[in-house]
Amino acid sequence: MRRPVVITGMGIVTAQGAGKETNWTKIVSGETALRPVTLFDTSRYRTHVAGEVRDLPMKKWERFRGSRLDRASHLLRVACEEAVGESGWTRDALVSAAPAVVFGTTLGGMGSGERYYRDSLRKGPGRSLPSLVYDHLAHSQGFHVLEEFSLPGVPVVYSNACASGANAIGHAFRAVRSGEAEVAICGGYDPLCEFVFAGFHSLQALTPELCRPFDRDRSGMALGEGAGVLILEPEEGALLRGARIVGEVSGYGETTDAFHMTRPDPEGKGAAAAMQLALDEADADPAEVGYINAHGTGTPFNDIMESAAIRSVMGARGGRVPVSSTKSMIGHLLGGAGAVEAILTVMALSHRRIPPNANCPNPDPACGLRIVTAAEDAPTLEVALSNSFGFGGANAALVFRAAGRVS
Amino acid sequence: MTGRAVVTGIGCVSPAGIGGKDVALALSDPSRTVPEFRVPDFPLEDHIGNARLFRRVAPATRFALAAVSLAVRDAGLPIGPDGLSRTAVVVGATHGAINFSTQFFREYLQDGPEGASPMLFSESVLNATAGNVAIAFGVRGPVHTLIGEETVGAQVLSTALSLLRCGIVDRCIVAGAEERGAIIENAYRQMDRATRRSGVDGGNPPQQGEGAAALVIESPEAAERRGAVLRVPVLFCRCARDPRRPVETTVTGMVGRELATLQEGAGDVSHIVLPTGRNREPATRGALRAMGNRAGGIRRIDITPRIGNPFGAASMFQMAVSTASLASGPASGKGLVLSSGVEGSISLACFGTAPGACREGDR
Repeated sequence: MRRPVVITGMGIVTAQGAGKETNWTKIVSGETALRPVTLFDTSRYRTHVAGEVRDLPMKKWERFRGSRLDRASHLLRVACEEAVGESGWTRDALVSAAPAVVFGTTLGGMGSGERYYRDSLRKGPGRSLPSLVYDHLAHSQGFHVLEEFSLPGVPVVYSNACASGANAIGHAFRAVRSGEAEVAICGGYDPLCEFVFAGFHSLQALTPELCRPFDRDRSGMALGEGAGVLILEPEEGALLRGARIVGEVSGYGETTDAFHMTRPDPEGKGAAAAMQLALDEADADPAEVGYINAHGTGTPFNDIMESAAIRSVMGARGGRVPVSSTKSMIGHLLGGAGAVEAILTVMALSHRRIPPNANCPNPDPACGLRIVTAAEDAPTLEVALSNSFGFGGANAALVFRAAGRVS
Repeated sequence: MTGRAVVTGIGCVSPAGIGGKDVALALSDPSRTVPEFRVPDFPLEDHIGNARLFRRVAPATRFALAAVSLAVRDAGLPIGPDGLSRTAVVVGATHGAINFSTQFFREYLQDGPEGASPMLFSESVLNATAGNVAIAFGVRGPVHTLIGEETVGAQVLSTALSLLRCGIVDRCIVAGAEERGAIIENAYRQMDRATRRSGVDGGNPPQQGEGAAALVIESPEAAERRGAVLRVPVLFCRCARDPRRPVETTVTGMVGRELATLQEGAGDVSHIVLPTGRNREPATRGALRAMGNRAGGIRRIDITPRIGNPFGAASMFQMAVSTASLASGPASGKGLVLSSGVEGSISLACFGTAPGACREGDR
């Protein structure tokens, strides 16, 4: 069975704020949300900014030990509520439908693990709150969402580093398309915490300056936090219940470099193969692709590798397809990146407008791509691609189509 | 999810031994216990040719590299960085490289960020094990890490079956890997004390264990084409959680429903591998109740005396034990693998025997 799979709801929370329209407005205007970090002390680090979510509504979960839950659970809940709300599913109907729940995250609630360890050092072993260890586990946030929505089932939690969010959407896409699930709640998330900040600092991957993907003077990535959640359904089911269709997931490709734990294969062969597989599954010719939301971290290695992969898949159009990396404005959301960027790609299709790649005054000629530096109208945009790559050589690509094509 | 697939290779790195089917079988022997649920030190060079590349990986990754190597060899597949085409890897875990994470915490909190080793960070990300397996065995297809409770092995197996059914790969290496860590053990001890005080059912789980188990899963056609010796069919694999019902009731319903879909129902179930984690008692009671009068004649295999509770690796070890028992036992029958976790998740996998599947004596 190969059913068309449509998107009926989307939810986002990033440093730009909560809500996909808020995010879209700010991102299209090129506004950057990378600001000094307040969650922990960065005075010992070279970098002091990140895409931190301010004013995260933490209180709503009070009845469910809301104040103790990890930040990751709150981010995921905010995005889920928006997505479910837009989809038109009532909570009761969703419980009866028993959706597949698939999330991606790099480190789950690592901030809670860090707090447990910090408290153990300060108060002595066995004196810190043991529930922090449970909350730090990467599957806990999925269970918290299930409990919040009173849903049955077990969440499937992908942890494929920065490709996790895209892998979760791809897995849900396959489950719905094959008839295994009639509805899926999927996406990705990751909170900002010192563990991750220290980790990327130690790898010397964080830029002390602006995050400038694909720019000649790029000097590294900026971290962010947030969550993106999508509701996927078979087209037929969505039409039957009168849902508003916001876009279509039409292809998914996944490969592995098998090259190095942290460095991508410089030739980008695995990344190119993932893009090609996604296009093949979508029955889309590279010539149809009108926009690529790039992984674009702003590190020298990633951007050169990804450019080579895009040029290889797009052939003669490689230097002409509009490309942008929205990480320049919200930072790298790790496990959340693939999901948030998938949503921004779908919004580009529905608004027929391409979001910009901020902070790129001098596109790197070595990349050889057409980087969109200010938002552009794209009245004929029908097909778009979103790339996600991660540690461990994980490559994932998703192809989306505009909703208008759907019957 | 039910998929047409067979198990063609088994590998185990456990506190009770390192090896293939023989070690998996030994895990089911209740008379042999181990003093401590720790994997003894072993040279990785004995298992992979490029071991030097992996000298700095976390213990869980070392366990997985060796277990996968044993399973791949058992399946009769080539070992090495160029060896495996049209292959996927799916690894399940709960905690990941907890000792590296803890050490990284210590370094940046006590010595400052400049004192923190980048290697500890990159090798403690949750997909480090799967990424290293891909590098060691040259797997360029889908490589995934799934995080979950003791039931995550069933999700791993389901993902593998889905990849096979969609025709994305011809074979899938599935694994579970876990390492013991003091920080986790302290926290669980604290939580278990609280649970016991509250008198909640299932509040007396075994001590944390460690190790890795791996299986090679192939489509029956691919296995037959290349003449795989071991071919134990995967009959079904399910994962569930019903927050409205007690675990025992959910398990009874699931076991009854699933067995009813198979020829012979519970009639030819030869064994059930019991859960290792929280909620193990109610889950076991639920399964036995579902099998009614037949329950008395079914062998109950508890691997916890030999391995403890290896969390994210638990259900993969259970599956290794079940498939090894079926491959070495009588010529017909089915094996059930039941797992449970603290959040109320339960999983049930069923392996069988089939005409054409080779038995111990055929090897």
